[in-house]
Amino acid sequence: MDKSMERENVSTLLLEVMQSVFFDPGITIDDETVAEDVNGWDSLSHVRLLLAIEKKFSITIGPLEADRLKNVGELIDLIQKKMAG
Amino acid sequence: MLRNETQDTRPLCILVGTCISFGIQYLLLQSDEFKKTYRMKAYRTHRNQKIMSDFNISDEELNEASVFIYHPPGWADWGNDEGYRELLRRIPDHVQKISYPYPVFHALWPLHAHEKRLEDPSREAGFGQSDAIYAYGDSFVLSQMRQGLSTEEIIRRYLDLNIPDIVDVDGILKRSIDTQIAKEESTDVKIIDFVVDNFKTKRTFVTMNHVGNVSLIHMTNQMLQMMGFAPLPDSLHDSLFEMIDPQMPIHSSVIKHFGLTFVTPDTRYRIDPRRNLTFSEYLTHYIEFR
Repeated sequence: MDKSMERENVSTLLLEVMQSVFFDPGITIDDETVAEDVNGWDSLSHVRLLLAIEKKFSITIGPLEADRLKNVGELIDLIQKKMAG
Repeated sequence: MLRNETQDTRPLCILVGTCISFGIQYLLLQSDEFKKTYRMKAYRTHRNQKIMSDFNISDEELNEASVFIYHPPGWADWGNDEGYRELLRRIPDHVQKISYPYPVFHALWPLHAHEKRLEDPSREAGFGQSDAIYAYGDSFVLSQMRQGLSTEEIIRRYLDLNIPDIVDVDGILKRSIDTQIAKEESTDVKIIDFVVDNFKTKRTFVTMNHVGNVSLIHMTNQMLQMMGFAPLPDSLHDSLFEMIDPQMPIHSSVIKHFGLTFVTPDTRYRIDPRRNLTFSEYLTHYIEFR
C-alpha cells in the first residue's frame, strides 16, 4: 500500500470498504459524513468497519483510537496518519 | 399525614449508569448487608437519553452520599461528557467511588447494523411490543431487503449463510476483548476476564451492549466486596429471569463457530415482554418490523 496515498484515493478506498461492510453499494461519503448519514453505521457496528479498514489499508488502529472521531474526514486523516506512520 | 413517615438515617448510595444499572440496582438490594447499611438512589439513562440533561444531582445529595457507583466518563454517548466529568469532580472526598464498566461485546452479533426504520416518525409499536429489540439491526438482512427479496427468501438465504465466511468473527472477538481490556484500565470493577472465560458456556451478554445476569452478578459481587460485604449467594442466579431485555438471537453459524453451549439454533429469546422467539421466528418479525 502506497504510504503517501492521496487523500482522495484514501476516501475512494474507504467508500469501497464501507459499501462492502454494510452491504450497501448506495452509500456515499464526504468529509462531513457522520455515522447517522450512513446506512447501518453506528457505534456498535464501528468495530466491523475498523477491522475492514485495518485490512484494506494495512494499518493498525488502537482499541480506543477511533472512539473520538467526529466524521469521515477525521477518519480519513487517521488512516493517512497511520499509513505515513 | 396518611402514613407514618420516619426519617431514613441510612447513608446514601448513588448509582449512576446506563440501562444495565437496573440489574446492578436490583442485585445490590439482594444483599442484606447492603440493604441494612445503605439507602439507594439510582440515576439511569435509557436509549436516546443523554445523561447530563436528565440528571440533576445536587451538591447536597452528593454530600449525603457514602458511596457513588458510576461508569467512567467517555464510555458511552453521555451527550455532555464535560458536564459528566464536572459531576464527578463535585463528589466530596468522603464518598467511596466505585467505577464499573459498560461492557460491549460484538462477537456474537457480528452483522449488527444501525436500524434506520426506527427513525420513521409515523411508526408506532404495537400493543405490548418494544422497539428496543429493533435497535439491533442486521446488515445482511437489510441488504437483502434493499434488493426487494421476499421475507421467505431472505430468511432462507440468511439461515443458509455461514457468517464466518463473510465476516472476520475472530477478528471482531479479538477487537472486542482488546477494547474492553483498554477501557477497564479505568474501572474499579472488571468484567472482561470473566467474559473471556465464560462467553462460550454462559449467557454473559444478552445483546452486544447488555450483559446477562451472570455478568451482572459478577460485577455486583465486586462492588459488594469493595464495600466490605459478602458476595451474593450462589443460588440467586437460578432464581432469576434474565433481568435485562431484549435478548438478541444468535445466528446458528456463530453458535457453531464459537462452540456456544448455552444456546442452540432452536433456543427461544425473550425479545420483549410478550415475545419469546427462535432465531428464524425473530427474523420474520424483524423483517416485517412488527
